[in-house]
Order: sequence, then C-alpha cells, then structure tokens
Amino acid sequence: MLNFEEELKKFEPSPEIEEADNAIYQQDLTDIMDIAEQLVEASRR
Amino acid sequence: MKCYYCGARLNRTNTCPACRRNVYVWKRAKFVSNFLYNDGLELAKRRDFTGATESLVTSLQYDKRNTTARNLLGLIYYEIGEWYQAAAQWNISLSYEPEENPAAAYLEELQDSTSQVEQTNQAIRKYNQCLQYCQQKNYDLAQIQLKKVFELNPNFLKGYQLAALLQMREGAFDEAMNLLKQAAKIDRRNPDTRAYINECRKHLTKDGKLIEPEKKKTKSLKELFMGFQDRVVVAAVTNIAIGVVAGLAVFGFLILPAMRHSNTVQNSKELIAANEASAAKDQQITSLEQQIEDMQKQVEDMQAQVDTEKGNTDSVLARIESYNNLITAYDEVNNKDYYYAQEDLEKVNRDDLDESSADAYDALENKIERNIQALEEESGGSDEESSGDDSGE
Repeated sequence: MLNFEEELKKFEPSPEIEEADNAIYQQDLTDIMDIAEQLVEASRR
Repeated sequence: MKCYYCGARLNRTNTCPACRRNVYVWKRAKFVSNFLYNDGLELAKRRDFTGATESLVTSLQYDKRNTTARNLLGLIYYEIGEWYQAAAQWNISLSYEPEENPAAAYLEELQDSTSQVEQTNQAIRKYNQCLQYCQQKNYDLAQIQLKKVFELNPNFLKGYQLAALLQMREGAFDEAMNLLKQAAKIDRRNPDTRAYINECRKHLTKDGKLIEPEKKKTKSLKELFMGFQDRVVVAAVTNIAIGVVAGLAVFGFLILPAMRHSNTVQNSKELIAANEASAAKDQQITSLEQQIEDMQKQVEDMQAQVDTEKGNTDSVLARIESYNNLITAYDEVNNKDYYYAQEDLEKVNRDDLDESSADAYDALENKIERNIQALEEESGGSDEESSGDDSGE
C-alpha cells in the first residue's frame, strides 16, 4: 500500500527558466578526470 | 581525439605527442563515457527515459565535457517536461563548448520569444503552486492547478504522476490509471509510474473498473446517524430524547449535588443551632440542679433546725410537763392525796427541773414517802384490830 505523504515528498519545486543560467555554479561537475588529477597531486606531495 | 591537457590531436599511444603527458586514464574515461552515451541513446529511442537518464548522468561523471551526452540529457529532460533541467544542461554544455554546439539552438528555441519564456515560467509556477496546495492539504485546488499545467506542458511526466497520486488518495484508481497510462507513454519504464500502476491494479478489475468494497455488515455511527437524519420524525424524536438525556445529566451532575450540598449545609446549621440550644439547656439544667441541691441542703438544714427546734420544743414541753406534774403533786400533797401525788411525782423528770425545783421535788418526794408510809402503818394497825375483833366473836 502506497504511503501518500511519503510519495508526495518526492515531488520538489522547480526553479524558473532564468535561473538555469546559474546551473553551472549550482551543480557538481566533478568527473573522474578531476578525481584522477587530485590523486596525482596528492601522490606528488 | 584531442588531448585533455593541451588539446593537441592524439595518436594511439598513451602519451600526448605535444605535451608528453600520460593520457591513459583520460582515454579510458573517455571510452567509458562514450559507451554509456551510446547506451543512453538506445534507451532514449525506446522512450525509456529513466534508464537513458541514468546512463547519461553516469557518462558525464566519467567525462563532464561530453557535450553530446549532455545535450541528449537536456533533450530528455525537455521531453518529460523538466524544462528547467533541460535549460541547465544546455547552458553547461555551452560553457564547455561555446562553438558549434547544438545546445545553443535548443536554448534559443526555448527562450526565443518572451511569450515562450513566460509560458514556460507559468507552467513551472503553477506546478510549484500545486505542490504548496498539497502541503496545505488543499488537494482539490492542487488538481485544478495541475490541469492548467498540462495545458501549458502536455508532456510533464511528474505532473501526471502527481495527479495520479492525488486520484489514488481519493480512491479514484480508474482515473489514476488513465493518468498513469499518459505518463507511461512519455517514459515507458519510469519506476514511480510502474509502482503506481501496480497499486492501481490491485483496486481495478481486468476491465479497468473499480472493485467495489465489501458491504459492511455493521454500519458506522456516522452512517447510522445519516440514516436517521433522513427520517424527519425519527430525527426530531431523537433530538428530543438527546435533549432530555442531556437535561437529566445536567440535573444529576450539577443541580442535584448542589441541592444536596445546600441541604447538607442547612442541616449542619440547624444541627449546630440545636447543639447550641441543647448546650444552653444543659447549662440551665445544671444550674437548676445546683439550685435544687442548694435548696435541698437548706431544707435539710432547716429540717435539722426544725428537728432541733422540735427537740427543743419537746424538751420544753417535757420540762413544762414536769413542772406541771410537780405542781400537781404539790397540790395533791396539800390535799393529802399522797398516792395521787406519788403518781404525778413519778411523771416528773428531775433532770428537766432547775436547782430549786429539784430541791422542791426531793422534799416533796420525802414528804410523800413519809406520809404514805405513815398511812400504811395506820392502815396496818387498824387491820390487826379488825381481825382480833372478828376472831373474838
């Protein structure tokens, strides 16, 4: 049996279109290459 | 393929011919990212947007500069009505690759005209408003708002899911199933859509009609009450009975105890007054008893006094009697009635006489004894003479 309140929590408000320009600053854009770079830098120290 | 570090064209070796840096890891990451992109593309073609989104997001975790994967991800978001997410991905794509990037055209189409932007924002605002209504438990208003969202954004996947959830909450599983079918057309294998469909099937027949719940054998209090309401007369009588019961309850719990309390207080006051009166009476009785005792004592004293006086009177009378007898004896002696005088003298109590009278008594007694003796001697001589005469004859 579905729990209505729990299911309702999955629905979150959406920002407006104008705010999409700042998405590059809000999202985590780390990829595996960034992690590899960090590991290499750490090993060099 | 261009070098990750310097952008030079790479060969098959793992070293960049230009900057001489090791590009093995970067090449492998690039390979995996492209593999996942291809997988996402296939899924998207089958309208399995949930699976495609997962593959493309993972692809970008291996290579965030894979603009092809990012653009496709934006397209998928656009197709399922997530216009903000679509615009965000295309903006990021343009930031990594500003030149010759299809994302520019996509954004231009989305934000080209003011009316288009306004329509997009309006759809987003109505959806956000709908969520607020749900939090405020105004589910009817939320459903009305969702209908307006569908007019502006016909492929809004989450909107259909939310609308179906609201219908399921009210038990309209048939309506919910219709909405979920719309959602399944947009994204075939969305897990939330499938979960809701499975839930709806539990309450629907094979024909898609609602399964009526079993009739309850016992009615709830509310149903009974509603049944009663239909009958006006019964309802009126019931209301009157309720009023009577309520009145009796008020009388029994409020008025009667107050009355009892009042009577108890009154009785207590009367009892106190009676006790006080009784105490006063007791005190009066005690006082009277004391007076009686005093008076009795006085009576006894007086009686004693009377007795004393009586004794005194008797003694006085006795003394008077003694004197009278003495006087009488004296008179009888003078009359030479010596025998009578002796009797009277014997009645005299010598102790009652004073000294002179006692002397007189003694003298009188001697005289009476001498005289009686003399008379007896004379009487004896005369008897002898008479008896000699009798015998001489």
